Amino acid sequence: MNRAGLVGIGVVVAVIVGAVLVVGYRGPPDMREPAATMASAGGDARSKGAQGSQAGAPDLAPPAPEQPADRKASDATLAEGKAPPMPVQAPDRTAPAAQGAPRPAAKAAAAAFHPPAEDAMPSGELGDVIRKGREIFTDTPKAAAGFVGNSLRCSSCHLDAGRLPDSAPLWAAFVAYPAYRSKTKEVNTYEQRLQGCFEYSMNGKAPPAGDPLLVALQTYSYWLASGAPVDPKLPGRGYPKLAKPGQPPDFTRGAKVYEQRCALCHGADGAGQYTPQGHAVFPALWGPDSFNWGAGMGRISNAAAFVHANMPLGLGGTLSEQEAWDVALFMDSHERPQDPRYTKSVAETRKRFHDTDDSMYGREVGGKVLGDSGPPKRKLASSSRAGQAQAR
Amino acid sequence: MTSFTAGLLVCAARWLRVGAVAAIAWPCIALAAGGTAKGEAIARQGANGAAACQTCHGQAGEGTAASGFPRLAALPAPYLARQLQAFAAGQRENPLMNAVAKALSPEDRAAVADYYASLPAPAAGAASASAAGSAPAGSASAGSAEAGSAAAGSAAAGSAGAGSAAAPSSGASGPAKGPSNGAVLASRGRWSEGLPACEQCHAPGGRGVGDSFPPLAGQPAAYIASQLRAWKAGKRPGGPMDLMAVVAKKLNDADIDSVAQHFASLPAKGGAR
Repeated sequence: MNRAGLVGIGVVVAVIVGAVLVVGYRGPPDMREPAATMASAGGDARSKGAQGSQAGAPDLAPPAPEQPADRKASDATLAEGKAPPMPVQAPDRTAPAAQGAPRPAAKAAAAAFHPPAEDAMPSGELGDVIRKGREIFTDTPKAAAGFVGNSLRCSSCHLDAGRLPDSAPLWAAFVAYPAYRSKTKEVNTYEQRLQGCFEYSMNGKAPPAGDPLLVALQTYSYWLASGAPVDPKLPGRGYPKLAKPGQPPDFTRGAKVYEQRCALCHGADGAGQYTPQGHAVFPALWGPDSFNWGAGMGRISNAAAFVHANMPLGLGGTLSEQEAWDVALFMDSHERPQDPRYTKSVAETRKRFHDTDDSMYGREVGGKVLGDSGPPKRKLASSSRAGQAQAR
Repeated sequence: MTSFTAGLLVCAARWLRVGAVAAIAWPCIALAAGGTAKGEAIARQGANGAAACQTCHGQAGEGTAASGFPRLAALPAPYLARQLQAFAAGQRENPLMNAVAKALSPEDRAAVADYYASLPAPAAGAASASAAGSAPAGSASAGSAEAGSAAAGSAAAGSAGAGSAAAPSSGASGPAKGPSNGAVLASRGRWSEGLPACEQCHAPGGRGVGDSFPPLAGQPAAYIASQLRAWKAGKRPGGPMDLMAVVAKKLNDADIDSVAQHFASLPAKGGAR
């Protein structure tokens, strides 16, 4: 073969390789065209309804001061949202902001109340149920199979097995109920609150009242709250609320924060990362394996508060408040399982349960209306992922 | 279509930066051709004056516990390639590895990373067989792991079956003893100081997940401990978001030794989830 022929082959090979690289470089589909056309959300964390008219805070954050509705639709900062392609893995690099002093708020709260030490768990029948509750809390898809429709665990959002202040600790939640909730428009017990977690955050179905699962979770919470006063405002409860951001939360800025600080663990496509057996090491932040539209984490203000205090793991407090707002908006601007309270249409469901700037449900992002996926489809195989992994 | 164009541009930019099409294209082609053969040749015979990898890292990449040479088998290829790059650039310090990595071309490094990633995880206990002293056999039954007690339970079962090193010390530590400090750090962390559990990123049983969180199970205790100390002292780059440096600075000497023993005692394969 002559030289020209060899060169020709070389060119062909280079083109093929180029194509391969191109494919490898494309972001996931839902990030490629994120041009949101709606006004940004969450302009005011304290706007009326932001606090609880939709999904409950993951734990049950303290009631917000009533403030007049501030529903001025913020400007269309989303209009030009275009996320850059996301590298799937981050190279080893030293992030500048990584060494900030984390969690000052947590420390202050921690001074107020300490749950008993792990190794102080009592023995005997009560201890057995406490331990069972802890197991359910940290291994939810397995230990509560049949009631869980994704691969999240309670401890995905309540860090340190529900012990950590400012991470919606169980000890603070336990002493805050019964309480009136604007989400349900009635006084709920702690057990009913736990049922809500299964229905929304776990995208599953609530175990019936008195079910051993709920008994165990209550018993574990009770033990963690040993010595705490009955007080709905215990310091460390919920996630520390953030002030209204300086700029309206922005999808494009959020996408950038996500790429730099979140995608390493949760994946560029937000789907999390799993062991071959389907155990979610890093939970899905959106998509079919994540919490549904009724969950508290779907509220932008709530997600921003969680992220700011606790994310990335071990680096809580290192994102600026603005970054936390931006990335929370970004996360909550992706599709996820239907709100189980879905009525006839997205529009009506939004009107009834999401009618605030704090929710992107029913709004248009990238040419699609979020939540427009029809009535809820419940599959409770618990670990859809695990099923897939075994099928492979 | 736009993304295709953008991709081409990215591609072109990478080519220009590297300066040679071949540098990028060659590993792709080698990979496409099922070519871990080149990597295997380097692993077995060395290249460009660099010693054969297996001299220190074992025939099957299982590592050498007594000398603290790490396990390479079944680690993620991108992670291995980044480490070789860091050694070559002098960002990660180790006289032996700096010399080896410098002797290898970028294609060599990619090939050898692919080769080791393609090997099966070593049989349980291989690297931990001579892991020092008081390996906390009881540790694996730490029970209520953050990520689930089932993982810890199965890990315990696994190491009981295969971990010859772990077995003797279990008697010594007594049956009713709680989990070791290292086992607690591995499964629960120390959140009062903002320290996450190792398993929250490195997966239950330290099996690793994805391209950026390598397995810890079955790594020699001496290796794990030396790396944690290097991160703590700022002598090894902290990795993505400097995560490992942040974590290591929250560990004291006893923590480091205990957590290193813990992961060295865990099986590298079988039984986990």
